Amino acid sequence: MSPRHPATNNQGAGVKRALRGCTAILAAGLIAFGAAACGDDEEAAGGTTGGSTTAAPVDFSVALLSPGSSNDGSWGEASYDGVEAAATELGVTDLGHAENLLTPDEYTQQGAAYAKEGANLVLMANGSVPQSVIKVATDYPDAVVCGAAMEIPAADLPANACTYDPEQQEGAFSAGYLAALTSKTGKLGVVAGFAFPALTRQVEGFTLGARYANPDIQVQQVYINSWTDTAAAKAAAQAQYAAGVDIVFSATDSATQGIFAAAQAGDDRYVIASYFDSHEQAPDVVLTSVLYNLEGVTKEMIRRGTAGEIKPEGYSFGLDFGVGELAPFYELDSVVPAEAKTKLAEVIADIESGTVKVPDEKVLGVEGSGASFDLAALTAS
Amino acid sequence: MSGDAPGRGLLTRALSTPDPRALATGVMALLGTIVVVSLMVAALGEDPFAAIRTIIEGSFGDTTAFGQTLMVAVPLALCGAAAAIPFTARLWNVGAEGQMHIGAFAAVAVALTLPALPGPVFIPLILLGAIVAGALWAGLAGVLKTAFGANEVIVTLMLNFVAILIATYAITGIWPQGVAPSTEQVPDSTVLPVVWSGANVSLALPIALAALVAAWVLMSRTGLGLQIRSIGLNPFASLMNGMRVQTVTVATFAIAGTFAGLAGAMEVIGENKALVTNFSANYGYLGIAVALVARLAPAWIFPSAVLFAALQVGSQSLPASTGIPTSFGQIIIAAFVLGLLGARVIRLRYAEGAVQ
Amino acid sequence: MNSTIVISVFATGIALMTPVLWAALGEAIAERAGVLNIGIEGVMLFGALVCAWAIREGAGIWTGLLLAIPVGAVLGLALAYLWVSRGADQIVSGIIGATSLLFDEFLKGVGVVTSLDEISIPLLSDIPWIGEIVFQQPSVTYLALLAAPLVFLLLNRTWFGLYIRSAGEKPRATETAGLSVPALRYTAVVVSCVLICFGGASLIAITSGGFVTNVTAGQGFVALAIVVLGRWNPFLIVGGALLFGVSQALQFQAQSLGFLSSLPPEAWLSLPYLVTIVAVVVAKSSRYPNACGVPFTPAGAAR
Repeated sequence: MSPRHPATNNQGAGVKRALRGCTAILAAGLIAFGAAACGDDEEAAGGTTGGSTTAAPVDFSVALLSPGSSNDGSWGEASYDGVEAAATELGVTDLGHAENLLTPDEYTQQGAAYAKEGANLVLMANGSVPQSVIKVATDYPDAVVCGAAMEIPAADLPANACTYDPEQQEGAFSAGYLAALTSKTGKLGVVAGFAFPALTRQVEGFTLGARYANPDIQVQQVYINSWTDTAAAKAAAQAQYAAGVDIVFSATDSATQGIFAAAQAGDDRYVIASYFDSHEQAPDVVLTSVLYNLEGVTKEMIRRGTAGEIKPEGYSFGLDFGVGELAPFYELDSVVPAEAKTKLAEVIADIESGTVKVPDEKVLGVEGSGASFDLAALTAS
Repeated sequence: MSGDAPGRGLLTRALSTPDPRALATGVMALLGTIVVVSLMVAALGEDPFAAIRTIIEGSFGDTTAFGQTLMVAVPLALCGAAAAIPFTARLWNVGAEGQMHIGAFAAVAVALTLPALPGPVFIPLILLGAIVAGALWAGLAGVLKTAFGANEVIVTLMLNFVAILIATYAITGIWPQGVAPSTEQVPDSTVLPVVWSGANVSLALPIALAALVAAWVLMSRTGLGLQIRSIGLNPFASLMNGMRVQTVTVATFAIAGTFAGLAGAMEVIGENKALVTNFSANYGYLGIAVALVARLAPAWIFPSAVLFAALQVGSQSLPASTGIPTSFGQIIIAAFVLGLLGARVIRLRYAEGAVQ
Repeated sequence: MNSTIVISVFATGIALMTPVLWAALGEAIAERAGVLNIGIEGVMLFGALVCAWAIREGAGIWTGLLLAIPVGAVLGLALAYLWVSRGADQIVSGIIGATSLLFDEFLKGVGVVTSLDEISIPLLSDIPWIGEIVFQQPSVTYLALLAAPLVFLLLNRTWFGLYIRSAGEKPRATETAGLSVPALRYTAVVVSCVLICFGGASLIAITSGGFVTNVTAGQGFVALAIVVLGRWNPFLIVGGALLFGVSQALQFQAQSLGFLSSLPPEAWLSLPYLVTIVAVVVAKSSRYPNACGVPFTPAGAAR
């Protein structure tokens, strides 16, 4: 402190301090602003797409809460496409979609906010938030709240709530079957998000399907504990390709981009993607994608909502609803042997007819079950 | 709090509740931040007043919203205490996030392995387990610091990732539940009862408030609290005065861990009724900001936590009613804290060479 | 373990260490000047965001990487203003800077489907083992390995480096010698943030896939640890970064490691973090630059 008159000095310091505070806030704000500008760019890109409506508007509004974003090229995008399709074809109001939500608190709070805004149907496309479904449904009895890929015991399910579940193991099974028949090295890889049953049933379903085609097939599985960590996904896929794997099955979201990059770094390396037809993202390596028809399932749930058909129960969607279909091979059609295509069609028919019974998540939800399950039991009547 | 012991006046002056001038500057900083951020929102073509109104209505507008704000304030306040106490001793515990996950892990372990017990016995046992686990986990960082001079910022942050993975293993490997990424549900008798049913506020709130009172008593009325504060002012002088700085350091970390562990347990036996992935919306990290805005004073932690909770909960209503992304509230938080730092409202004293 | 696995682990490890190496080199400069930049994570996130955004707008990977340089400089100026001019607590503001972006979910989903190709260096890449591990990497990795000796020369063989180090050890004496400590620290923080921000951008360039919330996953703090482990010496820092990269790469080969394959995935995922903790513990005798983390008040300045 310079030795000035105490009183004036003190006052001056106060004003100065306040002024400096403002400059500091401005500086901090500018940093945040730069980031916000980029973020909002993204918002706008996602938000302006739901415009045109062909069906007559009905008085029914829907809100979607999802763990991914509407452009993640995966689960989030597929779910959101379903809402858009419902807006176009059924005339419902798309009240909005809340993206990248992870915590149960976020689902509860955003779900409550939409319910308060008068949403008729709130969809929570994240299996980890059953309590949020129950809580929002209880607090807002006028709204219907449905959660995807989760199980809620009937006793706990409020009258205005439901769950819906795409049975993913059947699609993964046929993908594994196809991969085993297409692989030249006899080694397959799986790169998956998290080791919880809804995911594990896909990983083990793939493994079991591969064994059904070729009992001697080797399947390497890696869990990267992320939907989004592209670096981990790339490294995991790289390791598998280096070990002689030629087809990697992806069961994660935007992290799949890392697997594409690993495949593109070498020759004769392919990827089977999940949830969304990923052909356009990497046409040279995406052999096919397992489509769980999330768009159709989401749209169907909205249709049931408009018709007042939703009851407090768990709905499940299987191959007969297009859940687990494989996307076209596009340019890579020649990579898949003709014989494999024929046999794949037969197996899909067998699953639909019940000749081949792919076990559900109670069996395949356990790690290692795909490798140990008795193949003979698949076709046992 | 008057200087009732020699030297005490100096300590309290430096570290107790904010003096009026600092408080005034703080309020100015908050208003300034809101003005600056509002201008940005306006520049992006949105209505800033609608945004602010939505945040206030969404957090305090009705009983349900207010209840949600209070319930989010609970983990924020406890994690705030987990940062404030060690920060007072200039021990940089950024590990509340991990300590909270370990607390949650311990809570679910106790709830799922012990035989059925009545709630009044079971709930305290669960909370005790979580507190002990949190204290041990945080104490580990304290031991590594005192025994090996390991930088606690790095250690506590790395332990966060490990703790989250341990909690994940509980979900995927030890007690998996059906389809969802969650553990099995805890028995009904262990779930914290609701004490204000209109707002869905559970016993967690009174427990958290009691814990904060304990933190205040610890810091301002006990010998250990005095030691913690004097280490923060000058560790060398404390050492010279015969204080067992190493013991106090480990104890400080352990105490911080108890608060975070408690927060984790109450998330498990609260609304979620299980250990679920991502149960924490970065409460452990936000707790640091909560503590700083409270200027590390235990008495101010809860108000500070309510402010953060209101921004957090209120901004969740933004997309639904205005189309403004939820990040609006988070930009306010970030700009506000940085602004306070720049305005030197948050200021800690230095002894030359006192780093590490 | 056969040779393919060993080669794959080390090659992946070197690629994975690149962003951390850039960040650690930058941090070493700032710490030598007496500024403890704990906000590495935040600066890296900005670099990653800018790079991903530029690529998505069709600007190409290198434009994205180069764009991180001015962005890093601006961030450096802002942080230097807080730390040097305002004397804000370096640890507290660094912690806030690093974590504030963690909970900013608005920086999300900037998808990118492109990444730098690996470049095989002729002749060198034909060397058995070493060639496959070191000389088949993306260009930013080679650049990072080249930057290490350059930073060493800068700090230890130039007048500038000498001044920087004296500002970090004995700022008062430095001032008496007629140098401006604030100016030196400003320069160091800006250079440091440029390198850190570039490291964040390299994360996107190497791995592709774009920016997602918390894409850096604690790597900024790992860099902080590596600087201590490497005792502020760029060559040792390369070793520290490699240790981290390899421990991260190991998890992807876990299935091929015989009996270890029965460990749960979470155990492998926590390995890099455990290695970092062990590294900090082992580096116990490291001494921070004397004035590191302490704000400096120039003589005669009224505050």
